[in-house]
Amino acid sequence: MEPALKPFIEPQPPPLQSSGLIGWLRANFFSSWFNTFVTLALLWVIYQVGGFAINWGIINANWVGDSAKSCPNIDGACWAFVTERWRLFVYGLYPQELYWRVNVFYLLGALTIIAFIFSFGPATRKLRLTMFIGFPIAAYIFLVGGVFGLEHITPESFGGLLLTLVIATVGIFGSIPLGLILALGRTSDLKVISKVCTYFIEFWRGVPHIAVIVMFVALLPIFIPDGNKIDIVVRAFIAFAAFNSAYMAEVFRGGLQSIPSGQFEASKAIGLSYWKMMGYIILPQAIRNSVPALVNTCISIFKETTIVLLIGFSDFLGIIQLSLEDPKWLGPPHIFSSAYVFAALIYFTFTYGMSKYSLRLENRSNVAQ
Amino acid sequence: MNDLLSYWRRGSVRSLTYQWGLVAAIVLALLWLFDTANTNLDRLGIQTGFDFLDDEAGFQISQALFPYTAQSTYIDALLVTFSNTIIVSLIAALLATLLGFFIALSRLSDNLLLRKFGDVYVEMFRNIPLLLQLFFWYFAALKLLPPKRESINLFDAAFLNIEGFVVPAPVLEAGASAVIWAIVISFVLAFGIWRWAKNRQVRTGEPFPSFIIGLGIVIVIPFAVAWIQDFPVSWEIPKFGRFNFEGGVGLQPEFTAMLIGLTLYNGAFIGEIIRAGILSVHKGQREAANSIGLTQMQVYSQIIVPQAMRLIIPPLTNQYLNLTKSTALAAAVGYPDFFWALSGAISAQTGQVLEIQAITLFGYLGVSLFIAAIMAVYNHATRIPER
Repeated sequence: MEPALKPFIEPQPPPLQSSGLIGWLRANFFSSWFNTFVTLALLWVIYQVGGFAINWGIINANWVGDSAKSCPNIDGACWAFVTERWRLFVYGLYPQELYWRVNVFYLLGALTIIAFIFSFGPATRKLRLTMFIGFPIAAYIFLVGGVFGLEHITPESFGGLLLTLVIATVGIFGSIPLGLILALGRTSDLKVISKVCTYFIEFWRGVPHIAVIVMFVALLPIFIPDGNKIDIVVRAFIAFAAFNSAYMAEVFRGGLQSIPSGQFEASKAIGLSYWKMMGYIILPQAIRNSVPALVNTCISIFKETTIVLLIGFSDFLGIIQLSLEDPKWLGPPHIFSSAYVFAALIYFTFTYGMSKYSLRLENRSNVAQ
Repeated sequence: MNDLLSYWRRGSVRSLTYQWGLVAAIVLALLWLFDTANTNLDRLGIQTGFDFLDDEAGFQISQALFPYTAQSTYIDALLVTFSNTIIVSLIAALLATLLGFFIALSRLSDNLLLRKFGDVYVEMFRNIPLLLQLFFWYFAALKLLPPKRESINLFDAAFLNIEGFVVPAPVLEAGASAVIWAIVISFVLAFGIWRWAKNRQVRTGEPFPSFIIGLGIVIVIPFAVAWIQDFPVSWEIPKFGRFNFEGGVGLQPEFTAMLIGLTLYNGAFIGEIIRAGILSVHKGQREAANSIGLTQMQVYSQIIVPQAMRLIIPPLTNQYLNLTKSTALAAAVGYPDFFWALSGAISAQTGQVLEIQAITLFGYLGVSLFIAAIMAVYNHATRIPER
């Protein structure tokens, strides 16, 4: 028989603290035995890696010197390689007395970036457009010269970070208009135009970039009439703009497809022509939607500039690799590691900055919706 | 004149004009390019044609899947290097996917430290150019390995040194083909059972433990056959002879560097793709699945992953395509891939620029289209059925 009264239930202990510092620590680091183990293991890894990085990069590092002999300690970085050669890495073989022209290019680039990051009230759009068109022209005038009494410098003497940034500029500023045209072509109602653009885009996207560059460098002389010469650097520039325009086209196509069809229908209903519809209604929205993807494409373009070293150009990585093969600096692997870590830091600064910018834009547009 | 203008204002007339105009422009441009190329080739005295492919190649290839000597033809050289491209892409894609899966898991974990670790990994590896990473692994990291005589010894079976990684090689003996057939048949059988069980569950709602049974079949049948055949596979253990390792299979440092570089770089991208896919499944789906009493395993395998897959496949395809194309950077570290052979020795020896460019482009284009086609089939199979 059931007892009339159920047995007395002992009071439970209070739940584990779930607020305050202890609660936060418990929730984020020690919520289960597995998490505790992972936390402890990762702390150990951080301790080891951090200790190694400080020892290798700072305490045991060699900071000055002029050859591999000045870096005898193989347990430390050889920054001497960087401190001795940094001019070469940054300016390439540009004549030393004309470094100011390169500096102007760097400054203009920085100003362009600032124009695109910060808002300047109602003038913002005009300012950005001016910078977008003006920067490549000014860059050409200052770097190549030959006008306004500036001495002519052939692009073949570009090198180091300068060449990397010039190629990235050509890739980005050349591929955006081309890509926009291709994207409009691909989404066009005209079957033939759409097909031609689709094949063009898919072709470039299907082959390795280095193969495209080699193709342009090797074949362009065969396909232009005798007597005309195109500089090898310019050939690489054309290749770079060509295949990147295919990637940009896909970015803009994504933007165009994100526009609801009602926008197209409404524009047609009020009697706008194709170009007016695109110029006033569709593209302003589509371009705004495609900016985060566009910045991501710019990041890959920037990283892709390194492949030109395979056809013998001395871009930033190329000139570092060349210097490493210089008998003066030929030595144990720690010189290589130091050089690559330095190069990685520089590349990372640019690409990480761009990726943060793209993330900010994405978050802002998410909030706006 | 007015008639002509009104004719022009008709949409169909204009669109036809634009389209035929484009076609005509392209045809004219091609003709002009063909003509200039012909005159230029005549002037330079370059013979066109693919006859050179039957000539003796005369260069060595350090990693060959099938027999190749310097006396082989250019065709052989192309096949060998093409297979090298495929091999490194396949293995790197597999490893990168696996790595990416773990990266995604760590970034979705409820351990803050592990999450940050995943973030740092992704930001670091995808923001540094691949070529720089390959250089680092090949010229800096792998050069820290000891010389051949002081190889790092792993269980007396595998040896790691500056010239590569020597691992035991499987040797197939008589009866091995039976085991291989058993493996194939057991996989087909397991797949059949899975299909049958799925259909039955859709029809009657009755579940069937097809995964466990299938796993059992795949393990038990080949093992049983191998036991009957007295284990016809033996391992050839590498041994250090007078100057070199004898026996075993050697993985070259070029290959190792390519594999490490491609895996770590693409793993970061794939991790991000998988994470985004899983996060994009609406949280109501997870809550609903929990509330009808599915286990965590079932929530993931039946609800989250199938839906995430649809969003993961397209960018993953793109990543595989990128990976395959980026193997062309192998030339920088001297791994003998397709592009290495074409842009290096073959073009220097023959001077057949046009043909070599055509082979390069169509070779890679073929691979790209093949991957895209496979993924399209998979994507079609997992699409949301529309009624």
